[in-house]
Amino acid sequence: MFEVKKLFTSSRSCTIEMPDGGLYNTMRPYRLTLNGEDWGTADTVVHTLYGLWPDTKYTLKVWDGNKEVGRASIHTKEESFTLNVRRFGAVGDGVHDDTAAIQAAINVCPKKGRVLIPAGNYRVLPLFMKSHMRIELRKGATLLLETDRSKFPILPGMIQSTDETRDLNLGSWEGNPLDMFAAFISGNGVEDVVIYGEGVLDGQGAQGDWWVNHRIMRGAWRPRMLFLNDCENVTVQGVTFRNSPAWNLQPYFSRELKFLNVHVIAPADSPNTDGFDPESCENILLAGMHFSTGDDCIAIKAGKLYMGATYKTPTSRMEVSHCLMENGHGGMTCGSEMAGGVNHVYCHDCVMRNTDRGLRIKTRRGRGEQGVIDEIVFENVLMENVGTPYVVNCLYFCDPDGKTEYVQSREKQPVDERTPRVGRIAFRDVTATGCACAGYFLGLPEKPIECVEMQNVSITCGENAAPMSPAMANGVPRVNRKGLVAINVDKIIMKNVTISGQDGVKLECENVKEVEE
Amino acid sequence: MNMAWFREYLDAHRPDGNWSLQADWAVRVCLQQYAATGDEAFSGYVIAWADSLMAADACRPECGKALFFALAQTGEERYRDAIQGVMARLGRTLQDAVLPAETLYAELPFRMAYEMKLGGMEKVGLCVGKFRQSFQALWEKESGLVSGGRYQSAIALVALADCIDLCADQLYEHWRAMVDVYRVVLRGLMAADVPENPETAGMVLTALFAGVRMGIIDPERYLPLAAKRISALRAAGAVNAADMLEAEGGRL
Repeated sequence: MFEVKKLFTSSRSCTIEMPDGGLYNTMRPYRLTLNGEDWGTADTVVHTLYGLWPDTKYTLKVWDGNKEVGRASIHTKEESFTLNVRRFGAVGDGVHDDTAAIQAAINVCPKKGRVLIPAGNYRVLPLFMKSHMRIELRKGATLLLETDRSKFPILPGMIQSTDETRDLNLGSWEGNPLDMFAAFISGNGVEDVVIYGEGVLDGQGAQGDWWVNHRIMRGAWRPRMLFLNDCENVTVQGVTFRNSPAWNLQPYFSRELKFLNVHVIAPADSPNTDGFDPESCENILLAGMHFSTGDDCIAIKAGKLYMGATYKTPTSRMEVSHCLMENGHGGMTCGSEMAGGVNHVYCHDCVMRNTDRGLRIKTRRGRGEQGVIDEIVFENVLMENVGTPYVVNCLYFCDPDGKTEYVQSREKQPVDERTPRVGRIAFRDVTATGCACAGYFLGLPEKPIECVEMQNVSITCGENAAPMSPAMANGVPRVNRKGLVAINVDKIIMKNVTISGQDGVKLECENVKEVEE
Repeated sequence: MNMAWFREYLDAHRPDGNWSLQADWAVRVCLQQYAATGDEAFSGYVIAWADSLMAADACRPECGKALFFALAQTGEERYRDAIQGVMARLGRTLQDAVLPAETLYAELPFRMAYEMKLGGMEKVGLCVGKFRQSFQALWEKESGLVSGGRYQSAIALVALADCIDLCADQLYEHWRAMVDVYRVVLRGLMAADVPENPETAGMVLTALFAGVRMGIIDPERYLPLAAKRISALRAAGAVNAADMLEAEGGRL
């Protein structure tokens, strides 16, 4: 028996967690019943039930064969009205432009109302949410984002107030307040919103010119799939985001967010298609997510210099559980735009597979004293064919001045307002296989990484792992079958750490003050 | 604007290797007219200026606009060499001293163009830091002007506008730092109750229009102020300058 936890209940859906010891997938498939009726099977620890009725009580039972192994009581939320987009003129034939019809349904949706998008293919331009509503993308519903950028609205990076004393920040690109094309779905200052269902949002990244010369800004920077700016209490449940023009999901200066059972899919060679990039946000739960992207699966950010120094808003209190991260550059990354700081991130019971790196922390001199990364914990994580499972790189050579002497110097520089800090990073009960390098911790000589804790960690270097440069900094060679490397670290705690398959020593230290074993 | 007149003006003021404020204005208008119309008479005039400066061995940072444009248009290495020669004389590393407004105006747009186009953007932070350092030292809070008065404020403003225009948006913190200084200098100039001479008014208007074009100031607030200054210029007999500036403002 296990305790079935309810992570979120809407008027028509409920996400549960079945902690049977599995990470992303359950140890075995389970049969589900609701009030005695068969409700399908589940093979993921985090699972969402659909097709529920509003304001209704259910008893959920979880069955392993004929044996009940878990149960929960569910009471769905109230719902006021359903606004079917077909009633508003949406055609859903993949030919008509259905933007106006769907946007109209959203705009007139009353409090606690539901905008229902039934099965069909809906061609749309960017849509904008409003507060206190739910959008359901039913199974078989696909929203197809138009590909002609000339038709997209632009959200300006900054607009100065009439009295010239403040700014309105609407757009963002890679940590700076820059003009961007409106996202597929935008929320600006909205609260109490749920987007749920088994439908698909297809960004059609390959069909337009978004992935061509992608580093060049044309008109504005590329749109995200979901952009939440100054939003609160937003939940995304179950839907699939695929083929994003750029980053997929970007909450921005937002709070109280849940992303449950969401699938984020992009080709492995698609440019900058990060899965989930929260920027200066707090209280975030990601559970049962599946990422397969062309860049970092999760990249936690807090602005480049201006936004970090001006608004001083870190990304804080984020939990990532029972997620599968595949094929990206990094499983979970912090930075490099982290000038506002990143802290209290707890990633547990996850699987990372075929990513270049597992946890990757990127910062550099110049990110500023607000740029503190602290209390990042990995627990019970399995990494398969991950090139370098742990990387902390304080000499990341990003930005035009990233390779200058000041940024890349291995000599002590003055500690001042430009100097970032990395506090405590912990890895517990982590198994990594197929690695080229067991781990690379590169701190600043003037501000070493404060503490790296590894407990019950097993790392196996792969015989056939491709050589790689574990950290993008000057002077870091490509390696293979390499043990742990620690440079400029105050303290390393290693308890029950097994490293195998490497050539040479297990732990190579340079300017490490204390190793506790 | 009467473009026939401007073409006559260009014919009457052929590049002669002697850079001046009037040459600077003519080149600015040519660059804008070329961008707007694609008329090669305007691009040719700018390139002719680069050629004349090189022939006279008179390349200076102030004429950077002509040199960088000629390089971009033709790709000819001789222009790159000329630019490198100017930078070699300047020295790429800025000295620690505060720069007076005249030097900001003469040097920093050239340095910024160099960093953006040839220098890999490595030392943009130094250029911007110099603006900030100099501005802090030169700013006179009581008058709202840069030390020396309106002319010094005006040329600092033009230099700022040029540098902001050149700065890549991926360097937002640098771009924004200059924008913030620009706005303070512009407000000071707009608020100061002192008549402007035509030269200063021309500078202010050039920078103001650039600010509107780049979207960093509110056109509803500032374009009416520009219109008043153009009228004043015309009333003072500076008809050609007023025409040129009106042409620039008219496109906004």
